[in-house]
Amino acid sequence: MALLQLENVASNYGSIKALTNVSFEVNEGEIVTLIGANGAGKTTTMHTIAGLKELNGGRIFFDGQDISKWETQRKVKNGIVLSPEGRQVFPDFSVLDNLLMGGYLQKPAVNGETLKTVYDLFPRLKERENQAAGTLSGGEQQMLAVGRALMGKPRLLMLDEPSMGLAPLIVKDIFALIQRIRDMGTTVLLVEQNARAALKISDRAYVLETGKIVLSGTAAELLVSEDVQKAYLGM
Amino acid sequence: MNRILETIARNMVKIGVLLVALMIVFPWVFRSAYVLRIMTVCMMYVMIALSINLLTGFLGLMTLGQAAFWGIGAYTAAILSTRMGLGMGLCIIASAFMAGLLSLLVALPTMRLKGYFLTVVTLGFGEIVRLVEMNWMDLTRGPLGIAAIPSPNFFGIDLSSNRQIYYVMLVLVVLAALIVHSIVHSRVGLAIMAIRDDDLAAASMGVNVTKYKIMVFMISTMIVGVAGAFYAHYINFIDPSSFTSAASTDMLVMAIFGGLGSIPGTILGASILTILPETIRGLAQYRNLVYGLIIVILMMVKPDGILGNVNFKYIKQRSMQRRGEDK
Repeated sequence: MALLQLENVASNYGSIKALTNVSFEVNEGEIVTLIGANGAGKTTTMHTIAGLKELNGGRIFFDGQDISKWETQRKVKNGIVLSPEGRQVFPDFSVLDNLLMGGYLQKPAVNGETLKTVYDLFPRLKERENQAAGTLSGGEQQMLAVGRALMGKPRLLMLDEPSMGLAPLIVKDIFALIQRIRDMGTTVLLVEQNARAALKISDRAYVLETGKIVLSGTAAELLVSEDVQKAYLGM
Repeated sequence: MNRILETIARNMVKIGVLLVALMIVFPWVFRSAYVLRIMTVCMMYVMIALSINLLTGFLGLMTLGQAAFWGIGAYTAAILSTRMGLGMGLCIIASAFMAGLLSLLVALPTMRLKGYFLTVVTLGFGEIVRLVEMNWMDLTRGPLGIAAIPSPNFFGIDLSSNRQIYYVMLVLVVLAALIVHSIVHSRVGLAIMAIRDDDLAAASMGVNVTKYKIMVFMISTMIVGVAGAFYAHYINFIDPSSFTSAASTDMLVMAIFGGLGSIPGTILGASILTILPETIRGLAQYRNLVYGLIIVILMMVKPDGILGNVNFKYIKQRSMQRRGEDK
């Protein structure tokens, strides 16, 4: 059974329909990527799953349970964690406090444990523990954003544009880390503009266009698909 | 400069205790009624500015209606003590309750708003409260105001000498500072500041943004409501002209001047801005000009306020880390 399943999900901003009919699933242990142009509804999909945006139609299942009406807190508590677009770290907070915010719903003792795991994954963050997050480099801030999301002990980690605005070398690091996180047992749902890099590390992918899923397949299939190549890989 | 800040950060608790000790001794050293009066008013404004800093500095919700809740507290205490003969202790509790209740009524429909929209709501609410105070003759006696409010007393014990009033205010301001401090330095405080910095990110971490906004708004207005109750008992007479939006602006200026998001800054800012106008009384009609100039100059030199961008918690942590590495 799929870990996450969306069934005909619709979502509006007032009278504007952002998602009309989105259905897809993410299996345990997979990396699944949503690709699509600007305004296709990728971020809205993520926000709807996370409960930051209300659902206007359809249903969402997580681990067999209908979570359509759950509030964000309940979802986070049950392991659905979103790292929002644009590295939204808290700039005036220290690195440590940013991470502790990520574990906001966890018990302090659990946070201590998770913190070790996160610091193992991102040694740079340990070095800069007491530094204000706003003074980190772009790549470090992205690592902090991912680390912060990990503090919520996600079963499903949703990453919204983790490569945005980063230098190509750092993007490579980030994608390698995403693979490591998956190998540690976390399922990953990824939204990316950088379709090629994302597809390379993904198991499967869905293509979103104007609020609908128009194409789906394994990442390898989509990498060689003519439609995808033309529209998203610039070939 | 960094050295000084580090030393302060390391000894913050000692400094706080020392400050309170000095304030306790103060009325035995300076016996002039005038000086005690300035200090009492100064502490009241520190308390008010602390309430604003909790709301504006830590939660990031700019308010222009704090004087309205101050007034609600003052009127609650005035009405209950003159009509029903309640003592100050009970009046303070009732004032906190009324301010909290009304802020909840304002907050419930509006707290989903963000930023300046809420500022406008607080401004509008302030005007409504003032108009009610002006026109509900039966309850507030309108522009006539309420006179003969009993002086501070505590369950039958009279506390009306200048020194006693000073100590009542000292207790209130220390309590307010401790409440704000413990909120800010708790897990909830972290969540509140996260909402200020980025409410979407905070929400995605599982913080109930609306709930915390309402909670902080209520605590802030309850603190200022208590300050209002004290004011009514202290001045013995209140009328609507004290609780205007101009008063709200003055309060906000104190918090900004001291530094949003800094408790020591708030204490410093509110103290300077209440004591300063008194020390330059000799300048007669130029007084307000000088007062205004000082605010303008500080904002040009330090737009964050006196201690606005100084985070003593982090300064301390970094200094400890550095010392640890030196060893």
